[in-house]
Amino acid sequence: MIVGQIPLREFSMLISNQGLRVVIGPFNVCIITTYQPLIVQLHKLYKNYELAQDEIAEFHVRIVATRPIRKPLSVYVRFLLDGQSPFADFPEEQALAVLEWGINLAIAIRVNNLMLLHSAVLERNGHVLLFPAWPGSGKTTLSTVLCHRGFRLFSDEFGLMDPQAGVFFPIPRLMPLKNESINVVKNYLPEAIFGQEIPNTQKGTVAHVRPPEESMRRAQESAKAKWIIFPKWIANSKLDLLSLPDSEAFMLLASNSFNYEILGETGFQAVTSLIKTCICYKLVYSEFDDVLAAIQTLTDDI
Amino acid sequence: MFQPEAGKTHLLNRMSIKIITYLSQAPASTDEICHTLAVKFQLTSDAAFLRNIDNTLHHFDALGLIKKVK
Repeated sequence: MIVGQIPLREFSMLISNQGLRVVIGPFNVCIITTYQPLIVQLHKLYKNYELAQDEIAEFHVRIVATRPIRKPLSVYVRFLLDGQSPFADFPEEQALAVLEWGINLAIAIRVNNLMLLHSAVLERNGHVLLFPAWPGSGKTTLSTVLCHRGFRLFSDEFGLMDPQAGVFFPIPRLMPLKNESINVVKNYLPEAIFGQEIPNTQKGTVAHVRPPEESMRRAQESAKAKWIIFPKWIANSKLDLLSLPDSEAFMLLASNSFNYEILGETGFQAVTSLIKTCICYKLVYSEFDDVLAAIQTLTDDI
Repeated sequence: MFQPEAGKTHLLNRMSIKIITYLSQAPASTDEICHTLAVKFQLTSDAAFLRNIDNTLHHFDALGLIKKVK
């Protein structure tokens, strides 16, 4: 059963009381909130999330509304992970962004049985493409475009890899576009389903895009990586897809991991194996049409 | 190269790899190492080369990748 099969009224009761338990990639996440504007947004944007059958949830998160002592007339929201608040309260209109960041944080700090790469991950023709990059490099924008043009979304943020088996697990989540990229993507992908624009966040204006239905439906289908592409969006640049030496790719990839050092030798072996089995590139681009054509050609050739 | 005792990863060039692998077989003096490297990489083993290798060996020693023996 998916969220979209539950009427809003029942959905609201569920998430307000026992909690909404959804399957997010290899994890079950239990979300509780009574904050109605967030409930309405989640009902729309989480439409294709599968409800967890298992009672066990790896992450228990909550969004609660609060009134700060210094601003008693304003409503703020607080993110709680297992009852603890890992960061400050935020204005109420940022509730969705706070929930999504909070779940990301929970994954980033708690998951150490898997190699966690800071990378967009997409799949085509049965093989995964990694786009490792730090925030601000355009990973989310590129992921949004690719997953609406024939690539299956694994994640715009996390490469979740079993370090022994070398397989990646999909963890498709809402894609938070920022600032100028919101309108650029709206124009390029009129079919994309957007949440409300959330102004004045730490990252400027944010609008979340719902992952395509097929990516959600196939969220339990893992795959191995074949290409590692370090992307960089530069305004007005010509497309450039250059081979990258393995040694440079190794250091870039290891430095893009959340838990490389924690995993120790296991992390080293995992990255080594990944580099040995993948073809590595550096990508510079500015136009979606160009980058789509280049990556389609690359992934046709298997 | 992964250093299990320190949990650190080191990016080594070809000459550094040669030094580590050479020393992993048996202890050697700086002169012996320089001679081996000069032959392998077709370089002149002059005073500057010796100094560079000596610096590299000290650096490796500080990192715990090699250990000085008497």
